[in-house]
Amino acid sequence: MRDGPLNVEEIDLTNEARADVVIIGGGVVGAAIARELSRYNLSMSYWKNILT
Amino acid sequence: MGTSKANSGILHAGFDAAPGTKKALFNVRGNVLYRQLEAELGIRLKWIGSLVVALEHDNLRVLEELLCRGKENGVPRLEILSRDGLLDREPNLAHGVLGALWSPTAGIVSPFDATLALAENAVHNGVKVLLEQEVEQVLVEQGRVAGVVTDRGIIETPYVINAAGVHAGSVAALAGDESIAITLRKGEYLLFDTSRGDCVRSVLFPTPTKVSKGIVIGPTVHGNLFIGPNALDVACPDDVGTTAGGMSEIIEGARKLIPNLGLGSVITQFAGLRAVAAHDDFIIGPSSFVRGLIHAGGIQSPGLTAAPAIAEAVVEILRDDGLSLTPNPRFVPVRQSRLSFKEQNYTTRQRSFRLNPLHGRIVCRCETVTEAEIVEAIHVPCPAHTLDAVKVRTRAGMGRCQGGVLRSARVSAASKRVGHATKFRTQG
Ligand SMILES: Cc1cc2nc3c(=O)[nH]c(=O)nc-3n(C[C@H](O)[C@H](O)[C@H](O)COP(=O)(O)OP(=O)(O)OC[C@H]3O[C@@H](n4cnc5c(N)ncnc54)[C@H](O)[C@@H]3O)c2cc1C
Repeated sequence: MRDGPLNVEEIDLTNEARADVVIIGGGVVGAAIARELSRYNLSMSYWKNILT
Repeated sequence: MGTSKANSGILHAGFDAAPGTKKALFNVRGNVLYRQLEAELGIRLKWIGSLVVALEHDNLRVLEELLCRGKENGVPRLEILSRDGLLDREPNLAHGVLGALWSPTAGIVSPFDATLALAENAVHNGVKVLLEQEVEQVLVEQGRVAGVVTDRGIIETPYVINAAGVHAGSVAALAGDESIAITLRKGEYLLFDTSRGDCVRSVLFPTPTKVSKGIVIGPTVHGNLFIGPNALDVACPDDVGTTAGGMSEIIEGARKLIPNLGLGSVITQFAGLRAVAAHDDFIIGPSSFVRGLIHAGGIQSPGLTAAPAIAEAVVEILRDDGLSLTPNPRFVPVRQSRLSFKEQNYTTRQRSFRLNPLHGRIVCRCETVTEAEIVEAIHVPCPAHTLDAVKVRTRAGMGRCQGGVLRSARVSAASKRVGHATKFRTQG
């Protein structure tokens, strides 16, 4: 876990990226799941397409 | 944000869904959780209650049924009001009204604000967000999820949560799970400016029939009034246009409840798509075909209300599957909520201006949005990359003139100032 907010541009998918959980969908359901998962010490949770 | 940006914004009490369904269970729990989220994340919401209005004698029996169903679902403080009490409460209501089911625990919320608040807090607590990337493939090895391929690269992962809204069926199919069939059902709306916001005090529903929940009329948290939605099956997930027939249908429906509803202050129309699952309930659970794929699909109404409860359930599914979930010691449940410039009083505005002189430039006059707020929207943890995204974060262009005098040149200038290469599109 890192301190403070993450700059979206920092994630580099050209290198091998790993995540404990990937959430596809950044509507209210994906956002709520992401927030709930952030209570736990996962190495990474990605979630996609929060806003278009 | 697909459907989450085009819905009624009602935090339903939970009397509508059949007892024992996921819809009923997660609606009632979600409604309770929003009280906590309001305090923690500063989400803009109002607990104004809802009324299901009976205009015909037959309707009174339906109200009794809804009352029983609500009690069975665990909805507190439901009561049936008589005509006299109702007209005191809602003087614009049709005078032929016979009674109504009153649900004081229903509320209204800004769906953008709720989604962004959850997202920002998640990011603050370590979640990583990939904006505007599409998952093109879900990798499966020996029957188990192994990763996802996006348009910009691969992420290895043992778990994929399918929260793809109207695309939940296609995302499942990407992993080889063809079991999810989603029907798209469009709902159209008319939005009125804030001069009509006090036309009703609570959300008004007609008595539902077997085929339709009917046209709702209600205020928004920003003081507007909306009417809608109708229900029209469509084939294409991009079909969010409005139709002349749809507009007539919702105006006629709304006028049954509020006969003197004028249309002079309508400022816009929009539509959202319901993701309806074959058995009409939410699909929440592990895939029966691919291990590590968890579905949160078919989330039609009351999905906005239910979302926090669905999130709790998904985490439990992951735990049951063996994902190690130790508490994040740095989890901060609270988001520092910001008062918009419009909401600030004179003294606070002066302070804001001293801190950032860009508050002296108004970009959107109807909603009093400053250039500083646009810059901030492009800079926050889940930054805006499109003009639509700026709109939902700041309300620029969402007032009476609907962006007619929005200084989009200033928006672009502001984006350049913070170093965004992204070109602003007018549509998301
Ligand atoms: C007309 C109408 C009125 C409603 N009124 C209410 C109400 O008053 N109260 C209430 O509680 N609920 C209401 N709802 C229901 C509520 O709006 C939805 O349940 C909720 O918004 C669904 O959220 P979601 O996150 O599942 O989907 P969405 O908000 O649609 O989000 C899904 C996201 O997944 C993304 N996505 C899809 N495929 C991919 C991919 N391959 N890669 C990356 N990302 C992808 C999409 O871009 C989108 O951003 C209403 C719905 C409608 C249509």
